[in-house]
Amino acid sequence: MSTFEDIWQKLSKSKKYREEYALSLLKKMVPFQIRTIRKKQELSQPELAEKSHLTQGVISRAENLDYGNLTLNTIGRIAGGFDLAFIGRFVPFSELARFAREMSESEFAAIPTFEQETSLREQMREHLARINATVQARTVVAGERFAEVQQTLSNGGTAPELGTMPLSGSTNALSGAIQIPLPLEPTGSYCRLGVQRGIHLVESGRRPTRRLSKRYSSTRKRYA
Amino acid sequence: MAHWRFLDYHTEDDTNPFNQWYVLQGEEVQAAFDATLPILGEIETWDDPNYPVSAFKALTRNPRHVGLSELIFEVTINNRKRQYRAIGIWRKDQWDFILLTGFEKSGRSTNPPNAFEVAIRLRNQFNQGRGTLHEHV
Repeated sequence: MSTFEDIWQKLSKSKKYREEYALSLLKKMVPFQIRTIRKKQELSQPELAEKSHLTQGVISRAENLDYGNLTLNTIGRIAGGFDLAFIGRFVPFSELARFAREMSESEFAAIPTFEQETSLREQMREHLARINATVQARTVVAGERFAEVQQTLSNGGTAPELGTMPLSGSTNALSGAIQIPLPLEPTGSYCRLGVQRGIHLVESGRRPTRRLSKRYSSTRKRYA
Repeated sequence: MAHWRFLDYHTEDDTNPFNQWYVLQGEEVQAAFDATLPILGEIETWDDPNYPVSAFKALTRNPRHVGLSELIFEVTINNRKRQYRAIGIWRKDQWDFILLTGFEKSGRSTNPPNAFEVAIRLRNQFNQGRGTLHEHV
């Protein structure tokens, strides 16, 4: 198989070669695509002719790799028969070389028709709506929970349990933020070695027992 | 990834008969042939009667030519369409085409006139296990 450099080297031979190569590829690309898409859509030549408002003879010629006299009108009608669009555009030779190397039958066969695209867009829209609804529901629950905690704390109450650790806290008068001081070191049944690694501990004035303090400091060394 | 590979046959003295023909052709012919291969390489089925490939023909009519196939391409030179063909061995089961030689077809005659004799001789040599195959570039 030719590499990009092989193709580029040949295109560098002369302007005449480049022109003929590009023209020849252009002549063959359209019939190649028509044949590939017709096969993918499982249409016979007469069936495609009917959908395109053309004759079977025109479709047969349009699939001939060497015919080379297809009009834009015929290509446009065949595209309409496939329920696809066709665009022709000018490109640099590097793109032509890359295209000649990388084009594939499966790529053209996978082009969705307008109806398939509409169905895909509908599915995508439903999927996004489901994601949005889930995110919104979770935000509402979190907001309600936050308001509940804030209300409890402002009434001088104790915040509900977070996980297995009952916490007490207060609302900052200036910022309104909830402050929940954590013990300097875990105590009693809340001292689960290895679990506290991620918690940033704040001085609360409570001192752990001597035994637990010893265990905790050895753990701290291990995770330092 | 292309479905088909194109290979050059080298004779025992390491000459490449297809390339010998190719370099003698004008740049228009070379360009048209070079543009035909990537397209054909991408077409999975060359012999499906419902989806014919105009650029390929397996020779079946003349018993001497059985086992040979042609890659067909046209070039317009001075406003005149001319048809060229590369002759080779199509190995469907191995997904490759071995290029042996080429010719210009004009009606019932060929240029060079002995193109088929050369192709038959090379095919026989290949079938006898003589020569080597190389990736066509």
